Amino acid sequence: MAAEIAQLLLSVIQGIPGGATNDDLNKALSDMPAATRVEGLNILLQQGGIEVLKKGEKLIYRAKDPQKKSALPKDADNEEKVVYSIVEEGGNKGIWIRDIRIKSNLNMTQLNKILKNLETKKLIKAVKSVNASKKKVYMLYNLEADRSVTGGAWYQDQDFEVEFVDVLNQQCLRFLQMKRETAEKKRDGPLAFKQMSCCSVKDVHKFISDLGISKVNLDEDDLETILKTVVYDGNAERILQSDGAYVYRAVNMPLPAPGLVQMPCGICPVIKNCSDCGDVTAINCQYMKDWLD
Amino acid sequence: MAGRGRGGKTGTLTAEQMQALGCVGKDMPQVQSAPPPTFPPVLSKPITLETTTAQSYQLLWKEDFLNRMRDSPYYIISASQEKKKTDVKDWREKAVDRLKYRAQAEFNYKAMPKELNATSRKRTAAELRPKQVEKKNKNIEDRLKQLEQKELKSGGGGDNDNDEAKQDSDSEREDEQEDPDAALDDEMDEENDYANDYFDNGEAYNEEDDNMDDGPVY
Amino acid sequence: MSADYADLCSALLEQCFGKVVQAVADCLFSANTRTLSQIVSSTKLSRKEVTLALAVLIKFRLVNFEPSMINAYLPEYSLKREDIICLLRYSRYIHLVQSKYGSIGASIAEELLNSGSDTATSILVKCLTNGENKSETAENYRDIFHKMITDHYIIKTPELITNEDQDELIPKFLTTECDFFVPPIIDLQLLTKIQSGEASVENAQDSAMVWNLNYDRFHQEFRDDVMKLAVERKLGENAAECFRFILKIMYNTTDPWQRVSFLTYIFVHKRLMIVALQRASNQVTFGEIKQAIEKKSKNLDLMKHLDQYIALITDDSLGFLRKVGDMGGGQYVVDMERAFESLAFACVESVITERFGSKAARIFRVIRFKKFIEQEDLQKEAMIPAKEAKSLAYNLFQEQFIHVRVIKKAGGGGSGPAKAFYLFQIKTKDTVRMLLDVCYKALYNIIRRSNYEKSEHKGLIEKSQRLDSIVETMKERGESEDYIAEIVETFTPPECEILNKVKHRIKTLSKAELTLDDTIFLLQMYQHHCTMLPTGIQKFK
Repeated sequence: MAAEIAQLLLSVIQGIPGGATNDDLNKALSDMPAATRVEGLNILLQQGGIEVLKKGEKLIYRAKDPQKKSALPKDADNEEKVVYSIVEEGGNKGIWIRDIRIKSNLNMTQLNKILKNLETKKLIKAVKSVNASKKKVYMLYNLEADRSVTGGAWYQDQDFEVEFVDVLNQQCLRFLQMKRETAEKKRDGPLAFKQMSCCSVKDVHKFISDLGISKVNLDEDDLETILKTVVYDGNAERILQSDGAYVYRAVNMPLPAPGLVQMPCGICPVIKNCSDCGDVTAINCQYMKDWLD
Repeated sequence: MAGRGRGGKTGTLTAEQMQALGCVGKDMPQVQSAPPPTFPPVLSKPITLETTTAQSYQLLWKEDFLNRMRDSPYYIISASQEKKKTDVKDWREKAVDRLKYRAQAEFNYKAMPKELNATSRKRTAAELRPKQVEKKNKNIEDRLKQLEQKELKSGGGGDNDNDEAKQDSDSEREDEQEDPDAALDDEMDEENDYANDYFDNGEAYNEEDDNMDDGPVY
Repeated sequence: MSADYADLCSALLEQCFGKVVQAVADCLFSANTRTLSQIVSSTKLSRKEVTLALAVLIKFRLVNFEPSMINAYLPEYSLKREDIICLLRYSRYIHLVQSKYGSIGASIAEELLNSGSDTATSILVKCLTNGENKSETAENYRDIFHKMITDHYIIKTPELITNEDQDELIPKFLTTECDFFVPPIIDLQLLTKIQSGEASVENAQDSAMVWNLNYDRFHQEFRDDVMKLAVERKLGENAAECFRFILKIMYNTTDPWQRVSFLTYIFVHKRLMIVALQRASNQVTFGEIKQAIEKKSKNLDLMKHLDQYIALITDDSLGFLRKVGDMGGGQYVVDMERAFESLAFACVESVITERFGSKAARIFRVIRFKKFIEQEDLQKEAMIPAKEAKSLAYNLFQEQFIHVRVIKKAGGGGSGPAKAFYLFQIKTKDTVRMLLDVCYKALYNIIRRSNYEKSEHKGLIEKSQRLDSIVETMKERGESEDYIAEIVETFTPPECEILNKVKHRIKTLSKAELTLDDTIFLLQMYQHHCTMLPTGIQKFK
């Protein structure tokens, strides 16, 4: 799994002071295919867990220390130092420009200039927050923004990725249904069938990862979120296990389509206006006409 | 606590509620420049399911049943409607079936209030008159009894006003009751006495019976 | 009673009994009780018409009468509002009888429905003369009639108290529950005599005993079918069979229409009294279920895994069955309240899916699972973009599928409006009531539209009916096929096309009527089992 590979790579890289070369990695993780290694390194780069340096002909991967203060240049002036430390206090949840202004007592023009300055020096960065549209928050450059700011895997710059969520929802459901169908084929009594059709989040996570439909790295919590939407769609049930974890299984709806939605009035958006006279009546109803012809 | 939530009853929201629900700014329902279409587009069509054999059976039976009911004596057409219908000469009027069913009206008048039985009322109309006084007397006696009981129940005291009001409405209702004889006399004069046809069949026996047993009616 | 229901009842009564009865019923619908004179003056119909209409309504058990409170000699009439919808279900009753007792049973039930209520002798004579199975013996008819009584599908109306020396203005009735289902003695020889004209129905000994279809027995069967079908769809056929046995055993000891509350209310002198504080036991033990299945079922898999099937139903989220003890291998109760709550939700959710889309149904379910939830959390939990989630929730709220609860924050200081939390919630009872009204309106619309189609094309429909009867007579007379074809051709192709279209429309509408009642029935079952609203289901009304 990609996340685990990345973690493995990181621990190797962290173990070599001054950074690891490709050879180092090859030696430490000899059974890992090169392609997988590249994938893992890309993830680490994306996450900002490592940086790449060039030493002569060789590339060196060096672990970034998230705790480490990015060095503020010696020549930084007082204002820059103040703003920097305010941003630093904001941690990975970031801080609004308005709050920086209040805390620093600087005027807007001055503050904008300083922030711009720090940004070009790659000491801080501006991140769009998903919670409040058009609001940027600032945080130290090497920090990974908190989920509450980025919205996690479901957001691409502050935009909720509807299609991505929908695809995952469908795939999760497909997996649960496949599990159910397989279980149906074996005839070991109803309880065995029920147990076999249950899927753990881990099972689903593996299935989705193997599918390779996600460009971003999804963890089990992410998939649990998706699985819950399958439950909320009425297509699955969530069952609490004795160990406190939940399993999921596909279920059938207990009722066929109600009679009410087998005719237009059940889905009519203007039924409130419908009466014996006026524009909307059973006689001049457009939906009724379409349905009957 | 839920005072404002009652807005739900009418389905409209206060501005405050709208804001709390997040319907502000660009999320607010847009102000319409033109009236909305009478029939806005819908998301989906009604679901069509195949007709089951049970449903087919029921559909056939129901159609049959409603036709039967329409031809039955229990489908009452008012005098004016009846006239109109024959004018148009509905082909069904001529149907033999109809006559057959029409002839079969059966009411168990013994199990209904006597005032509903037009035939028995007619015959007894003449007998009723002398007994009218007796009836009224009895009614008054009855009412006195009832009033006595009421007084006992309320146990006097502050309830008097209430009781008086009740009495008032009681007597009002009493007034509303018309003299059954007067109503009868009116009807006797009416010529379009189609309803009688319904009562004849099968009731002859009962009528006889009624006659024989007619003791004091009231 | 909503205005939508009143409109529907009015349309249903017009369909079956015509405009006069409709007018009288409309008048009664708007009041608790009315006297004859009041009805006459308010409907502007003649007294004769009103008396006839009342007689019809009483015969069809849609009107009750009682002596007035102020004048014991003055009858007051009241409409049994809840029962009017049963008119819609006649075809379902017949179908059930047909499948349980065959065509003999169906023709008995049919004659009972045609005449509203009647004596056994009269019904059987009608069956023997009108029925399609004239070859069947009177004995067979009698036996099925008896069987239907012992199975409670036919019930005796309370017997008239006859008073020899007084001709009552308002008849009184005996109400001894115990003989409602005692089969009458039917004189088979008399039946034959009546048929051949040697005697008349009036000679029968059973003239005081009048029989009806017992609607609630049918409704019990319909309700059980809804539950069994739900178990079958969700847990499979074997589980459904198992559940069927459980219900059957339960009815041995339990009133099928027992309601949710632990309290039982009765009316004493028009006053509501609480008379019992406990619900009757309806426990079913594993042993009983096992015994019944071993005796009556051939389903080996069910027998082998019986404990598992019971566990399956018990553990399922539908909540149909609840384990309450360990005696007898486990004691279980059927939880009607939870069952119909689950099913009503399933119904509401389906309607939302079709009307507002599946994302709206997701929002509805999130609120249902969370009980109370804020907008912000709602969109996160449902994984729907903020703007869409807001608009969907707003639509659901606007159409009263969901509700908002406001919680004022304490304090808040003097300036500005007090801060408050707005939480979405579902008020199931309100939502169901709203949806029932939609159903009533829909059904009313169907009837109205159907009447419209029929009257719009009246000429054409009548022409085709006339033609059909002519052709039939011609065939009987043995006219040549060519000649018949010539007559048939007087119906032109364009006429034919229109007629087929109209027929199709009317058929579609009639089918919608049937299926709509499924939804109405389900939601009414919810009201019966999950609320204290009056539902018209009373033991032996």
